Amino acid sequence: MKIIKYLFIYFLLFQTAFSKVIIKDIYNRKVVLNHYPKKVIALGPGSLRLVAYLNATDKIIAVEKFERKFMWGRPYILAHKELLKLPIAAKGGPKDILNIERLKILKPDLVIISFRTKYYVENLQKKLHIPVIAISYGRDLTHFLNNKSLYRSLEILGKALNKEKRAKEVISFIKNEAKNLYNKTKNENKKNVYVGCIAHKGLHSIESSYSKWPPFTINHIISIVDNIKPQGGHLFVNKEYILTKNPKVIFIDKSGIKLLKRDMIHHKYFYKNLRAFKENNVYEIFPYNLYNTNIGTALLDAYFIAKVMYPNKFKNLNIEKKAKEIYTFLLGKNVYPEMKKYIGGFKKFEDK
Amino acid sequence: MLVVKSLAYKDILKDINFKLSKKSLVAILGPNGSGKSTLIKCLANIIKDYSGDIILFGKNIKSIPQRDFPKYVAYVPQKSFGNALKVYDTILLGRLASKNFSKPTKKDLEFIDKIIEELSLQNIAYKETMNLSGGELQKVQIARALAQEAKILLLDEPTNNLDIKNKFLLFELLKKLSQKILIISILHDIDFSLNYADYFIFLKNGKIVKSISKDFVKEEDILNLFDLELWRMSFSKVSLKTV
Amino acid sequence: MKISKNYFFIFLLFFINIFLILLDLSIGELKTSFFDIIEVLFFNTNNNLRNIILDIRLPETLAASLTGAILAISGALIQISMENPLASPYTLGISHGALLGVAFAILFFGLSSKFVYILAFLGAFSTVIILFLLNKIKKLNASSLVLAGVAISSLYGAISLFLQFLSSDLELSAIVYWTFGDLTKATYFSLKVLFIFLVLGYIYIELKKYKIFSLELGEEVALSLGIEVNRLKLINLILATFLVSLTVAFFGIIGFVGLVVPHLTRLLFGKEIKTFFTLNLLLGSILLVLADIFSKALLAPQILPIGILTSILGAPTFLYLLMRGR
Repeated sequence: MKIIKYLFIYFLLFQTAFSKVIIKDIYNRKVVLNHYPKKVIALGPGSLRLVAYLNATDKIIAVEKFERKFMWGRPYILAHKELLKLPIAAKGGPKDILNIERLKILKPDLVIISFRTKYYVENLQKKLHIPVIAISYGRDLTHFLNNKSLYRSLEILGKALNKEKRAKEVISFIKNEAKNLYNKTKNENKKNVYVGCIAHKGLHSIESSYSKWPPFTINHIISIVDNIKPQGGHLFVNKEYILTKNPKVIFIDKSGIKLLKRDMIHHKYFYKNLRAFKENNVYEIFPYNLYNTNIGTALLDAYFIAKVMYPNKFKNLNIEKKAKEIYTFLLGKNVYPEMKKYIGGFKKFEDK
Repeated sequence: MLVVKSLAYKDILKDINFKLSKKSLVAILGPNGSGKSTLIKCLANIIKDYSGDIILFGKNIKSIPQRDFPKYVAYVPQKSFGNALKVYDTILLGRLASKNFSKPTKKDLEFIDKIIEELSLQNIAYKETMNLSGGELQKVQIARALAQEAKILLLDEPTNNLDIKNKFLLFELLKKLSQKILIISILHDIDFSLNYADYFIFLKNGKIVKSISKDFVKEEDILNLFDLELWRMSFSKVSLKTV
Repeated sequence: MKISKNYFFIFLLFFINIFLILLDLSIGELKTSFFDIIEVLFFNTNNNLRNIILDIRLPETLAASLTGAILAISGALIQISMENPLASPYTLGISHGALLGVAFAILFFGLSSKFVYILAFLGAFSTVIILFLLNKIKKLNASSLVLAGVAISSLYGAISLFLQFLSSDLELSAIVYWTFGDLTKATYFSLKVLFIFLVLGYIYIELKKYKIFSLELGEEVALSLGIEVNRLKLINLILATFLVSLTVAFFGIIGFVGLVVPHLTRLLFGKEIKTFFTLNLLLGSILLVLADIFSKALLAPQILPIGILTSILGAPTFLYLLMRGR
């Protein structure tokens, strides 16, 4: 009899243990879910992407309007176009003022949100009477290898969406791919390289660059602007500086190519005398920061750069194959061919 | 020279008629709100939507192109604000207005010098008008008006800011000028007007009560105009008998 | 009437201008001296330095000079015509108008569309066109003109705000970023356009300067002097807005110069009708070239948009003028 009683109690405890999910979000808030959520809304830059990485987009019931724009910069949407048919949850953007009523009507079990303060998130949860989990990618992806916030967010969502295993796999994948590059290039270093036309609050021409750019730093490449802004980050640098330093190789963010071509008409001497342009060592890379970081694309850029800068070390690397590998793992679909259709693939820049 | 026929404007001026044909000093007197400034502004072509006719030298004012107007009529407002322009330039503008603002010639500059001398403005000729006293500014405005060499000079209370000495000087100047041009001036100085003006127009409630030459002005005309029995008592020194 | 000493100052300012332009040209990553510049420009030595100067430095410097001149004379025209010494070329709301045009272009034609320039210009210029149309409906006197200007500015501000609200975050930052005044955008095409219209504008002003200054005597006196006050004010505003709209379309918003330079000219040289606008033009050019020197030197080799520098300087200067009275 006693055994049955204990078994019964044990069983009950077991049930309640399983039926409630207790999460600590990125602000260390305790969020309690009564069961694993079946209806999820992801708001803010990067939230939906992480859900896609975790292969949990089937749980999404509504999507921000902003996700419909600039599709060429959102591999996670290209891989899950069905998301665009869902109702609209909110306008989108880090400063979006949410329509509480609309969110309530959609009746989600869980709301995932990014780019909001702890106070905001707590307030939101109070108003919605629905659990809200805050996530973050961290300040920026300056460290592919050591992005605590990103990995923590993946773990949090893994737990919340019953995808803990998958979360671990995604984290390992990213770490391994990054480590792969880092280790292979550890004993090398390249200087005299430049990345231009970086998109930042709009599209720009060649003066827009980035100090300590992650796809460079992971490959032990030092850009000519790294010493100007040691703390890293976006900057505009004047043309004369670029000309004086005359980098051997220049990478161009595809988003700024239209502006670049226009600029080339008005500054013929400058481009004629840049070594990289003269010797045809200008390469196009994909912009990866759109609504937070497209990690797959960032890794892919890093691989492409590695192949260009260290051709011997990466002789066997086929960038299209690598793209297939990365996107298929992260998103379940190889979106590279479609991205290529939108803005061209990895290649040398040609002024036509 | 100047004929005004059935001039009316809103409810401020009602059926104004008068004729002025001689070069003289004409004083417009009347209580506050009688429409004096409005009348002057109609004559100065600043107010244009009146009814009736104003005829200058045989031409209806409305048929005179705006840019030729300063050749006929010069206007000095009641209140003027100083600005960063120098006295010299201010007067020059009057002169150029009569030349359709063509480039100033040497003759023009000499003319300005002459006016400055006539009005004793040499000391302040290169001062900015915002740095002038009220009286000095008034003189500069008159100098500007004179520089236009217009046949008719319209003044709105020109003695407002002047002390008694400058009032005398101004009236002496106006008397002198009235030998060459027709000067119509709104005035509040009854005593000075009675001593200097040739002709009077009494305006009350938008109507001309009387328009007579100075020989025929009587004490009761002034009294009735201003509704002031007390006038006789408060005004002791200058007697009407000097008229 | 003696020969004005201001003619001497005109020559002086002209040479200061040339000097500062050469100085500005000598600043850059590649170390050059003043004399290198002179050699390169006047002795046609065809070398690396010459190409850098012509390709990279000269457009920016000339843009500073032309834009400074345009902003200064436009500011003076607007201050006289609106009878408001604290008016600036942007008082009518052309910055909002430009933002509106840019927002339109970005929202409907994409982030790197060519239409940005045209729509920015049209947006900026349309503010004065509306003023013109309002005046056609009912003639505006001096105070109504000012009020209409404020109303238009507010209206455009509201519409611009609304459009910003509608746009996504990316578009919004792009719109705002675009408006930072930045002379590195200068091309020889934009220089040619600005030069032609500056010359035309300057000729108009010099031909009409006595009439224009008559506006300073007040509306009534000006009318009695035979001036169609309302018409003249509108023409002045349209001209000034047209010129500034060009600079906004090409380079973005550069504050401070249009407001302050007319006052500076007055403080230094007085407001002599004969020479005021010329001195004003030269001083505007000098000031913006100076600002360009600073914006290049302060953060080199990073680019500091000159509009930000002038706006920062503008606030305390504006306050100082307010305190001083006029």
